[in-house]
Amino acid sequence: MGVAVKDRAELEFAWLFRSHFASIARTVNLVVADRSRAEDLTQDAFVQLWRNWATVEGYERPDAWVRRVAIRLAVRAAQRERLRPFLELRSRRLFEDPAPDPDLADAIATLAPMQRAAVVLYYLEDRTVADVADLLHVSESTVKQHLHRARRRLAGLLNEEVAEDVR
Amino acid sequence: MSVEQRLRDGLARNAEAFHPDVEGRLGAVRRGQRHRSRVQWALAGVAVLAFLAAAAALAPALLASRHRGDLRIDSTTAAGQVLTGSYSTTVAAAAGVVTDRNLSGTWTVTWNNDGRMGVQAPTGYTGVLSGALFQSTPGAVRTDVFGQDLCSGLQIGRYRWTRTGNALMFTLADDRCEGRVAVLTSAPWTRTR
Repeated sequence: MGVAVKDRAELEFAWLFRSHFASIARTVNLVVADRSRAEDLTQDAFVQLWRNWATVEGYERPDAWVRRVAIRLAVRAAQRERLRPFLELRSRRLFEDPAPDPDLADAIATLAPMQRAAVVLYYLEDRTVADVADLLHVSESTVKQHLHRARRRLAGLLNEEVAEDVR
Repeated sequence: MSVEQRLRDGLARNAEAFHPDVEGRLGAVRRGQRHRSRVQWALAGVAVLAFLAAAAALAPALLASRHRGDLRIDSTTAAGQVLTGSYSTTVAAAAGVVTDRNLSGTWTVTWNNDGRMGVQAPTGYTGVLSGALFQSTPGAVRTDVFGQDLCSGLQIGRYRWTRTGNALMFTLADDRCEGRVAVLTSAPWTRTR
């Protein structure tokens, strides 16, 4: 790669990084419920992006590529984290600033990782069921099932009502 | 409140309360680092101590070569050097997105050397404006401003710009976000400082 081409690639990458890292890390944080871990996982996704930059740069949405990688890393990490003792995870979160809606954060943390990811993508990122299914690599009916079960559980934990709104 | 509304409000608030260390993480990615497990950190700590001992003896040579092989990107070279300063414009009331999203009124944007934008909105606008970035070259600029709500899910906007004296004018190059187009292009911007 020539110097000028490499410089341009580095500038483009840094631009994309600065534009999207925070947003992706915020979504990942809601899936893994751990800010430091969220930054780690998002960083890993961007390292993968940089390693594949020559290819991904040409895509219409390189940011969508890295977001997809980060979300999948987050779901896998959350699945592994569920095997850890609950108290260890809670004590680690004590060192973080509390979320503005801590009851919701705690309730979300009780969901299965795929349910968490579906809820975050659907309600935070305002994605369609088809988008969520594509990102999580599952069928649309599976996403609807995750959302349905998550809503029921969260409604019970938060004493809220359920109004079906899946598109 | 329905659980759906609680989710939409609460997740957004919880997400916005988290401010990742973007520049620090970019530095790590430049060096090609994946994150490390606790064991790896412990081993890395030992290595760092050994490195510091060696660096004390070899500091001049290390300083001379420290950037070799890194991505040579930093905020001062990431653009913003061409388009700088604070400018204001007034968006006139109009049907469509201007009214729907409360965009009318006086906007002030500060284009900083480090590629960050400071945005002051009219009082009627309540969307998220923090963390906006831009990248400019002579005559062209692209920006993700409004990317957190008004233009959420859309690609960054690309514009052409010209400056004559204190007047700055944007024309649309490529942007699917109607609100951003309205704010940036509906009237000339006047330099305020």
